Amino acid sequence: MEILDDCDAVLCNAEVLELVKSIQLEASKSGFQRPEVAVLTTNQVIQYLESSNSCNVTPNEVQQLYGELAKFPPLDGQEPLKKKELLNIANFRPTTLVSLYSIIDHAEARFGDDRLEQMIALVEKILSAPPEVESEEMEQMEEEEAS
Amino acid sequence: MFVLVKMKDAVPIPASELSKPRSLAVSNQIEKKYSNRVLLGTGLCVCLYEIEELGEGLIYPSDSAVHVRVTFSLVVFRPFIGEVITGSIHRSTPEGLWISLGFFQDIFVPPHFMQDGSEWDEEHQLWVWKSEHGDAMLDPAFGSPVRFRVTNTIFRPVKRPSKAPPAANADPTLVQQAGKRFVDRKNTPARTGQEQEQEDEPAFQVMASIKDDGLGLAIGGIVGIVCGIVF
Repeated sequence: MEILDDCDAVLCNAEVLELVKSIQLEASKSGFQRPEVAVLTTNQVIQYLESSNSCNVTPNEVQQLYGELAKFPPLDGQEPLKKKELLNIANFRPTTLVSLYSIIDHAEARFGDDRLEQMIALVEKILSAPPEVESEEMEQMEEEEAS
Repeated sequence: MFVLVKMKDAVPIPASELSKPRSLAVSNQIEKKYSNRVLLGTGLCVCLYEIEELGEGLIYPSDSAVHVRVTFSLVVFRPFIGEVITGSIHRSTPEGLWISLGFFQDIFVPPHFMQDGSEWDEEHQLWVWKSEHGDAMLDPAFGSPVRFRVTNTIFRPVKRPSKAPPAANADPTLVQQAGKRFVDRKNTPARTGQEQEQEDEPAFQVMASIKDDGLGLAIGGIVGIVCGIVF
């Protein structure tokens, strides 16, 4: 056994969820049984990812978000968003300023609250929301219509 | 959280699997060998991503299996340092807090990485975070989501080879526990001495912090009591 590349690629949660679901689907279609331990592990991973914030996010949306965030300028002389911060944002789907502070190092100094708010708006627009947030938004819309 | 690891290995296909298509038999054997197992220095293998190259099948004397050299990529769980992840509290001990992600349960938060004002409550055997907004019990029974940041990943060579995973109709949690302790080494030393039913230190452990703003218990979608910025 030889490891050729320890880190060939880094996958975001959306990609892994899509991959693992497609493996499950193919296995059930083809009728050939995968090993028990593999089935258990993939089920647990699906269970975890589907209960996370990024359960409805697709890889295309993540690509789109990366493209938009890459254009996001930091304040003068500061560092732009690093790769690990982009990945964290894609996996975590932050909706509050506080969450961004925990993801981005020196967030206030590098971007300032206004741009951080813009980032959050972008994330909410591009990445699909998890089910509870969607139902909350639906309820809010219904309340507004009723009043 | 997940990375792709490219590897090369000689996979033995037992004679009973030879009726299946070659790539399917190989992928089954790879998943059987690597799923839910820790590769030292690399992480916890989840599943097979793709098979890049399938070599010829070699047959060795007095061995009915066909050995195939394969180059493939595995999806491996290995969080990077600084990653913010949501998990649920698994158990509390005086040494610290254990957080679980379902498929991975060895995430440890030592006391110095908990929020200021966290104390061990002897009566309830739980960690409690005391703040001016009230006390929060870090209780595994609630399974409430906890946000943490990864500070370190530790790989430990396991001293004894683990037991083989139990049979197909066994309790799923047992399979997971057994699988996680396995460490792949080229030359497994022979077992000497008596078998002891001791709890091993995990082969792959993630150290985490819930100290900073935006981390800790996540209540109702908003990190309610964690940071002064919200209030």
